[in-house]
Amino acid sequence: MIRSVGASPRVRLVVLWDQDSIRSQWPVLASSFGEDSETVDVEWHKGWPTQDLKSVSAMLNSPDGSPYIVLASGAAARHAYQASKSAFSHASKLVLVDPCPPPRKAPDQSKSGIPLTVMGTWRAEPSNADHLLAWRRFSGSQFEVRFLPALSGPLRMASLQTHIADTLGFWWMKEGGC
Amino acid sequence: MPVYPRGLTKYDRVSMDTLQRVTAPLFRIPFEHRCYETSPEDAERDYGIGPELLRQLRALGLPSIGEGALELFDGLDLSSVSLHLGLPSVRRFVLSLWPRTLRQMRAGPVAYTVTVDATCPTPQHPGKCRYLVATGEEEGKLVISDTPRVNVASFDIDVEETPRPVPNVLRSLVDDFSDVQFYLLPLALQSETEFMARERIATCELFSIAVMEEAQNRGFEARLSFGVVIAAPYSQSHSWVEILVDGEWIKIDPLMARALQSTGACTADDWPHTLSPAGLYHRLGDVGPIACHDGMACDLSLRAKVRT
Repeated sequence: MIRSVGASPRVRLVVLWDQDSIRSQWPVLASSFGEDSETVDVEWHKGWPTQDLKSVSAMLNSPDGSPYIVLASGAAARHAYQASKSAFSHASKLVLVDPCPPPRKAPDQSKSGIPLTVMGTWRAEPSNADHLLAWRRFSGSQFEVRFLPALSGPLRMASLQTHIADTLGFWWMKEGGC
Repeated sequence: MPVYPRGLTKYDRVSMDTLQRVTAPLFRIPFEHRCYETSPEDAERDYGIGPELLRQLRALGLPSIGEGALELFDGLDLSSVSLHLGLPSVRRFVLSLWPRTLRQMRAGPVAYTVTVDATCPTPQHPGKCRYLVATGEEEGKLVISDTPRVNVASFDIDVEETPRPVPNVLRSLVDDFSDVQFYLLPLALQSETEFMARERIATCELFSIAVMEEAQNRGFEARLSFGVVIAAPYSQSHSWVEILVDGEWIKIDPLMARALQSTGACTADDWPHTLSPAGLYHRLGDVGPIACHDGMACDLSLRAKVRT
């Protein structure tokens, strides 16, 4: 998460999106990290389909030693998780929003070891709730699954913004304590 | 934008002299207290310690168990090494935000809002969650909730006092402790002041206890303090000492001044060991935690932003 460039270190927040509609809304989410351009570098990447993710991965794992946080949604989130061992091996934290579709078998977090939060908005789609239930069934104590209230539009984004900031806050405290 | 000493990356080579200096204090920590749970992969991701550096550390005698991919290290050891080498880690980033708050405060009046969220440490228990939250008042605040994760407090902090040099009467005290280095220690050593006096390494809690005792030995009225170090976007909980001088409680913390310098977060000119971090540290009580549930400390989130 640090960039050693001779100045104050900065947080590198990598947002992976899979649809133009998400891309247009997520600046709001990204700002949830701190609304703070002095400490946060937000990078936007199309995380779906696969070939895009590979190019992102190659860039992120370049040898400058900078860890980062990955925030991904939808199909890009599911794919980011599946590929985390290789594609995001240096990520400090993975936050998946509405990962879709659900995993077929228990996700093995030990494969990547990256602290993981799966976050689900119910919206109006029953299938989305099923997806989240599947993640929760497999989660055990290995990672956190959060169900958010059924909201849409700006309210949904506001809810997500709060929960993402909160999730990163807990992680920050746990990993950064003195 | 001030320019700080450049931190290392995991690809940089580190001289053996530097490594010996950084690791020497680790060997003063009794081996039986270590917890071997950190793999080489974790070391690289979480502490920026790559395979070559890990090999050098191992050659110097850094304790581990197992071999190869199954080798495990103590996470506190690795975190301390990472900090003192200025390698990338969450902890170093957290510390790097503190001098930024210092600059904000020096630039003029500033106000912050710190939002405290807590999680229940035993989420399967029957009945409602009851959180006892430190607020800086004598009694604290009871928060009852149906959900295991809840906002338990928000503090609007108008910074009225800014960091300044400690009074002359405290100079010799802070000077006498200025050689102590910040190293993460196992729980068993967190109140062992004799260990600190002998080995000159400490966490903030251990350091605070030792300094308070010495201040009292010298005739000062002193108290432990814990609370929040204000920093956006996320603050941190912290412990320090306050000493009564001319009716005013003076905050002192030479340990973190040295730690911040050591990690490259700031220079000695920015944050000398003689600085009182008034305003930057927000007191919530004598001892932690900030929030507990049935006597158990809660995991917390301390979101903070500048209030305009």
